[in-house]
Parts: sequence; C-alpha cells; structure tokens
Amino acid sequence: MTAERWAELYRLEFPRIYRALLAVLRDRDRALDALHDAFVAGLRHPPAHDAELAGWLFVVAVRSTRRFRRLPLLPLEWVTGSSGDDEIEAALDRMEVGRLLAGLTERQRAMVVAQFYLGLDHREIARHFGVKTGTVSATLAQAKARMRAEVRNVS
Amino acid sequence: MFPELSIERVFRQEIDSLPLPPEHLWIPDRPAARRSIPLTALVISATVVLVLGAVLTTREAGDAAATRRRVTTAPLVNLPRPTCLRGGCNIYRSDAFGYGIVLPADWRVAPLFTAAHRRPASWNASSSRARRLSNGRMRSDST
Repeated sequence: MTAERWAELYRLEFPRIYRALLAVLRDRDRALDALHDAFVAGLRHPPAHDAELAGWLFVVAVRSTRRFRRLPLLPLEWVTGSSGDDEIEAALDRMEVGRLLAGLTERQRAMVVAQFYLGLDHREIARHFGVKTGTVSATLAQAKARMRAEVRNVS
Repeated sequence: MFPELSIERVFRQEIDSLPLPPEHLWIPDRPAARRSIPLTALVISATVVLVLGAVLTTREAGDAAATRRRVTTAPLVNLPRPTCLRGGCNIYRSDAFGYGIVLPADWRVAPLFTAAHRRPASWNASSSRARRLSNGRMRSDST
C-alpha cells in the first residue's frame, strides 16, 4: 500500500473511527492520539486488505490507549474523574447509546462498538483483538446483559 | 430478546452525531505542504554548498600534493653550480653521450692511475716520477 493510498484511506475512515473511539474512550484527546498512533502504525505495517482497514485501525487505536492506562478495564465511572472529557461525556449522556455504554468496561465498549457501529462480526472482532471467537461472544453477551439491565432500570 | 437490528441503527445514528475535531488537527492542509518548499530549497542549497566546498577542498589538496611532489622531486636545484677557479671549471659535458655533470667545487681531478703500459716521453716531471714508480712495480712484478 502506497503512502498516497494510505493518506486517502485516512481521510475516508477518520470520521467513523474517531467517533467510534469517542464512544469507547469518551475523551477527545485520547481518541485523537490513539487514532494518530494507529494511522502511523498502519503506515509502517499496513493491513493486508483495505476491507479490514476500519476494524484494524479501531483495534490498534484502542490497544494503543491501553498501553498508557494503569487500569484499562475498570468501569467508566471509576476513571472518569481523571481522564474524562466533560463535553463529550455530556453529549454521550444525552444519548441513549452513551448511557448504555457508560456502564460497560472499556473492552466491552470496544467490542460493542465494533459490532454495532463498525459492523464487524464475531470472527472479525476476534481476529483483530487477537482473542478466540468464544471470548468475543462471551464478552458481548455480558455487555448486552448489562445494557438490558440499564434499559430496565431506566424504564 | 435484545433488538440487535434496531440497536445497530440507533448506534450509527447517535454515534455519527458526535462532533469531529477541528480539521486542522487531522487533515493535512496545503499551506503546511507549501511551507515545506522553502525548507526543501534550503536543504538542497546547503547540500550543493557542501558538495562544492568538498570538491574545491579536494582539488586544492590535490594541487598542494602535486606541488609538494614537484618540490621533492627536484633535487637538481641543490646541485653545485658550475664554477671556474684557477683556470679549471667543474662542469663536464659530453655531446657524444648527451650529459653534463657538475662536480662540487672542491673536487679535483685525480691523477690517472697508471697501468703497465708506457707513457710518451713528453710527459712532465710529475709524470716521470709516476713512470719511475710504475717501472719499479713492473720490475718487482717480474721478479
């Protein structure tokens, strides 16, 4: 993949993946830094196929944020005081999806967003995250159960 | 059952409404590319100056080396100059063999080493002494 092609894909995919990262990380700076790291990583070692680019970039970006987090899998409310973005959090809290995602761990949010927003199936999520398909299914089942409980609590 | 199809639509609709960062933070703009042109020109001109400097330095070093070689390979300058004292000169030329030899000023022509052959009678007194010596040697050799 040439640098020009990569720059074109960058412009094309940036909005979607940045928003997906916002939904997971709930922080503009972290999302932007993570996505830049992912694009730089892709420039050095691009994925084999363009079709996998969105999922690949998303997972690489999420992983790059975990490298600098002490407690990456804690529920959101435990860490929002130190790393939250007030404006984005307020926007997400106004959304139904934002409220549903708020009760999940970052890993659960990443897989839920990968499935429902980026449209990846379990096999693709497993390949990008480097886990077994069963692990993805279990994580998504737990996440859906929590979101269902949240919907029940609200109603 | 959790309504996955509808939730996918809700996810896309709501997450797509999240704001993007300002464009200058993620879209490489053209002025940035234009600003790089003077930098490129500066780098190229600096490279040209460095190459020219290196070439000139190399050439000067070569000239200096060549000059030094000429100086070191010209020992004839230190040869004694032809002098003529007391009617005799210390330069010897041979047109037949094409050479001219300059001997130091304090060199003198040594008398010929005489062998066993006879010398003409017109030789001077010093030659007569040499002849006597050589005759004596001949005699001693013959005995």
